[in-house]
Amino acid sequence: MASVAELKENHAVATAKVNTLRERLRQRRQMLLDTDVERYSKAQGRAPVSFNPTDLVCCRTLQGHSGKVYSLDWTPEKNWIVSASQDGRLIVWNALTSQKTHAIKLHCPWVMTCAFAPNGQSVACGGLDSACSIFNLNSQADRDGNLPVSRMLTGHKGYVSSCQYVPDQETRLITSSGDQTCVLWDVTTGQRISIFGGEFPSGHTADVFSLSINSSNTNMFVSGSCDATVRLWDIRIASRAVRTYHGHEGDINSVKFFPDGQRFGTGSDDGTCRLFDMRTGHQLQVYSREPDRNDNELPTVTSIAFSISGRLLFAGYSNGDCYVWDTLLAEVVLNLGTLQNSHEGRISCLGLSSDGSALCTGSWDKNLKIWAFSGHRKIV
Amino acid sequence: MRGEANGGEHRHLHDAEEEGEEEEERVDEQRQSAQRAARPSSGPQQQRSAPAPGAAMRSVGYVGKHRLSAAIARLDQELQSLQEELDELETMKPASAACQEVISSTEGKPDPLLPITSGPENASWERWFQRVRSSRSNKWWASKGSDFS
Repeated sequence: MASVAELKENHAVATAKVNTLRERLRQRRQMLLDTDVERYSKAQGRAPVSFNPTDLVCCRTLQGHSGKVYSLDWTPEKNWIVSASQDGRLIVWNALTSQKTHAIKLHCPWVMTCAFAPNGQSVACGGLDSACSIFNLNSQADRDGNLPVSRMLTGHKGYVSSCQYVPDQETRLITSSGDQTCVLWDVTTGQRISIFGGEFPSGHTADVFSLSINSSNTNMFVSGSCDATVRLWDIRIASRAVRTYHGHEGDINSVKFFPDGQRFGTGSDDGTCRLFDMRTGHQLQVYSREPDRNDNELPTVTSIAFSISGRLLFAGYSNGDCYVWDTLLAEVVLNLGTLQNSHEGRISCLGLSSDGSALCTGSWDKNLKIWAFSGHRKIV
Repeated sequence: MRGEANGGEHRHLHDAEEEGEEEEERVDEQRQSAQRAARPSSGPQQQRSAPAPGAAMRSVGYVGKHRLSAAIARLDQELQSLQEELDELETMKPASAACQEVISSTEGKPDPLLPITSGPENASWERWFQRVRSSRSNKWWASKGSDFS
């Protein structure tokens, strides 16, 4: 084998080549960015979405957690929401009536994420215990009124930051982790089916914070990481990422597929949201806030969601703002953070009901809020 | 936190991979170049005095031959993948094509949160503002337009 000195030299050469090629790639991509969604839309004479001040209202406040809310998920069918909090509990809510149907005390209180199974019968959660716990909502509570864990998905070597069931598959779930990997699990056996990243070269090189499964093609999912990239994975091919998306300049906290299944949005510590084209890798739009007049630190984007048509991009920020972006015109058309009855703290999570009629936001103020359109709607 | 050998006090930390061929090397330079390779080169470089919050704290103090070889192999694979991507860009459509698709995809889809949207309207969109008698109490919500919480 070559000497250490030779190997170090080879390593340095290879690194320099990678950096050079990356730069060439960046420049070639720049040349293909002949426009962005905003300029293209304006050139077509489109006008931004216009809301009256009372169009979007907070129609429910779900109170019950005694700690910061970190994560929430809607059921695909009913009006139920599961939320996870710093108080070490999951609460299942009937969002329509505001009633709590379940309050689940967790073995490990440091929970970061939760998800509803497609049939609404189970919930999953994960966090600093590096595992994903599954609870069957129909199971019998024990003497202390706690639901037993029906399955523990263990194997990650770092915290579980996000989990999502594969749509229409009760038995499969994907997690993202601080160990830089994502894992596809078989919930019935507790086995890992595939590991995305890790020792494979095209995996993330830092903690993975979020993931989103493509509902138009459930074989594909994207993951967002502290390495400032998003990676696209085909669950049938764990050995390498299909594509890596560059652009962000900070940790990516949230990724969500665009409703058409061909694009996805991201939210980052760099204070911006971005829209990427899945197939080409083009960065189609950057959604940047105006800099603070007082020159305060730029608020980070904690979570994002698209309205059901994709025309609106909801973005929660670390300073309590919840901007409603017109996706096409890249303009902020409303700030839910300044409306009556808005949250009193950072928005940590948000999600749309399956029919797109309501947005739920979760906050460090310990509450969840439901927002819906109460103005006059014009149908064209 | 990933704990890897870090100069000084962990001088004698063994790694099975190394098979006893460890060198006492402070390879900060290597770590930095690996981080540069890991971070996108697009956009203005941000000088960070500390690793990004949440990023695995890699402090590569001692790198043996095997680890170096593995790193080189990974870089070669990445080179290959970057070259493939460059080749792809030769025939790739510009962003404008995708922008048109984005616009088209938002049209014709009924969106209950938009003030102006295509039909058909669904009556269940209004359920958030209808009277709901909860089974536990006699609380119910007034009609559309009021404050609920």
